[in-house]
Amino acid sequence: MTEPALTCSALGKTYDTPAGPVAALSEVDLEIRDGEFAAIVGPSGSGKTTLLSLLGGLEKPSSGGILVQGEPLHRRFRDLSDYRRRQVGFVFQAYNLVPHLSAIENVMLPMELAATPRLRRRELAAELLTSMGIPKERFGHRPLRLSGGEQQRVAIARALANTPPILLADEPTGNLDEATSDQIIALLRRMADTSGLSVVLVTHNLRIAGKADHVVRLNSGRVESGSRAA
Amino acid sequence: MLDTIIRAARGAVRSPTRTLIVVLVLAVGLSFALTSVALALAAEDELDKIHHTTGVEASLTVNPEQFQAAISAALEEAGGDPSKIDPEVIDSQIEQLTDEHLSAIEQLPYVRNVSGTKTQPVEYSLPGQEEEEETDDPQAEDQQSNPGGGPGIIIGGTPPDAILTATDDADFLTDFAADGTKQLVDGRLFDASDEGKNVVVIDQNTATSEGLEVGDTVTLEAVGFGSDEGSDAPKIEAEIIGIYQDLETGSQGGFGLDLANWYTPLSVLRALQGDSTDNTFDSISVVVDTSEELERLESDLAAIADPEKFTLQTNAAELEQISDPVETMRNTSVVVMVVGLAVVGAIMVLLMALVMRGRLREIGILKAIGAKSRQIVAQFALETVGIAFIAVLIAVPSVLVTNTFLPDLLRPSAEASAEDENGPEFAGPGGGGFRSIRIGGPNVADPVRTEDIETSLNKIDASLSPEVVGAAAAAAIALGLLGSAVTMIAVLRLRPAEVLRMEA
Repeated sequence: MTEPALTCSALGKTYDTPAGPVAALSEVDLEIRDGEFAAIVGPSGSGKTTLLSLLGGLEKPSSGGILVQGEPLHRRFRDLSDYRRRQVGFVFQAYNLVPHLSAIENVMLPMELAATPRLRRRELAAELLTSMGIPKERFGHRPLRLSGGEQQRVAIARALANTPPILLADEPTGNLDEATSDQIIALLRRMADTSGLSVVLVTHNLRIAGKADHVVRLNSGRVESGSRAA
Repeated sequence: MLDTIIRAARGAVRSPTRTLIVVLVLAVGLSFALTSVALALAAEDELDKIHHTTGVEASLTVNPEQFQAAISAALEEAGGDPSKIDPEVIDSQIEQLTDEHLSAIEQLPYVRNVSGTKTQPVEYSLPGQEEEEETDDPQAEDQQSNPGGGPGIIIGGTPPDAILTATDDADFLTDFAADGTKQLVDGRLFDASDEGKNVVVIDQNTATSEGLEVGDTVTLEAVGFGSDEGSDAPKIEAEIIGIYQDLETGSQGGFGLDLANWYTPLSVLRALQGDSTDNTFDSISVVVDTSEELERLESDLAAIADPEKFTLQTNAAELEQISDPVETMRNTSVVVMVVGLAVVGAIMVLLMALVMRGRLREIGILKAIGAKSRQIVAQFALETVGIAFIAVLIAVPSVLVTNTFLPDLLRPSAEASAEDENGPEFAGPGGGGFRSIRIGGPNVADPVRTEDIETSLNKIDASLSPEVVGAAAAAAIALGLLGSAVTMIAVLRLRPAEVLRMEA
């Protein structure tokens, strides 16, 4: 039996605020398997985005640890930037595309940072954008000239640029209409089914969560259900 | 690296207006700083040349106080009657400069050249010409004895026809230097080949009025102070080997006396004075290697020639008079440069902080997708360097503009720096309450003219050298990096999630 793609063990995150320390997450145990489409749900302020940030290496935990394929993260990767570059792709609610780069340049950006051979970059980026349903004539468009749905597709393509085994998406449909949201979720679903990609999706939309293989429910920084902890 | 450069270039052009403002601010500040740097370097170069002026001359003469004291004593002995003053009494009271002093000075290792000079009032007669009868009418005596015209100054008796200056080295006759006040119009000055010969160089006025030419001879006779006879003095027939034109108008010295100056080897003058064995000098001229040696010379000469009895004149004060405004200009240029760079630096810090603040989201995204801190730093540093480089490219030709007014603003007034053109009085004999005849010796203490100072100051201009441009480029880059560094350090400490939250 293979190790889980990601394992959280007593993960906790406390923020220092003027009003005093605030525990955004406490004692979170969680397991995400290879090729799994998982959803993290919970009310606002339950710690969903914090958990995803910790899983994505965008924050450091205050307590507990994260295992990647059964190995502690800090042992497997030189540093968090290495982890973010090779292990995970992150999709944001606000897309967070670089505004002065075109769609294809945004997708090529992680490849530049990972020193992918230059001659291969454009070809790989074009393939990804095509697989995301972006027409070729829009490859050179800057984000401002793309629709919300197109921007999110470009963001997904960018997240997959270095073929990470894990894709983390924080409310990827939060700014999209229902129809477009369904298209995006279908896309993510297909990625998980066809390429063995582990997808972890944060959403407050139970309808979208219903399409996941595994749902983790958070409340007040703790896992209510779905942890799969040993 | 290429990827980083491309990302940096894309970042710079993403907001062309912002980039242009940063470039222009940096370029304007740099052009002022460049001009100031160039001026400061040029001034420093000029100062160096002044301080290392070679062949600097100094002159050692008998202290006028010796003459004052000697004349007082002689006058007292003559019962208060100046016409009865005995020159021998004066001479006996004065300690002279001698061969010993000259030899001692020659031994100083930094002395390039040294020569002794003597002067002597003389009368001359032409071959076949009877001696002029002396009359009691001072006016008539003036007209007879002053072919050059003008009122005579007499210390009892007939004024001489000319003042004869003698030296063994005609190179010490600075009046005949390239920028001197006398110019040979015929013949030559005496040199080593004239040793033992009776030769003389005379003025053009006398040559013209007497119809004399090079090759003619004149008979010279020494004239003593207070003596109107001189008949006991030997007469020397000297060949005219050179005739000179006096380029200066007006008096050659003293109080309105218009005497001709003639020049001859030392041996001739000593023979005229009736003592070929005489080893005294009226002055000793010294040429040292550099102007920096003058202080050393002053100190060493104090041991060779008693400062109470002998006076050293150097042009150290004059060199300082020329160098002071240059130094002022250098210092002012440095201040302008520092202030200019400081102001530009402060503006750059603020501008780059604004620029970086506007790029926070981009930095957060880069971190989120796996960029290492050094990749982000390299990108923004290259962007800054690129902007700075463009600013230098604009600033360098802009110096052509700033060079039209900034040097004049920084250049101090040469007139304010120059001394009174009458300058210090030459320390000749009979100073103090006595009317005196300037008896020659090289005047190394000519007053500094406004033109001299202007010449030095005008040499200083902001011509750009590769070193200055390189320094400007380095300054621009440093300022740009400084400007972005402060914000960059703060931003890099932020976690990606924080940055993206800030920008959400």
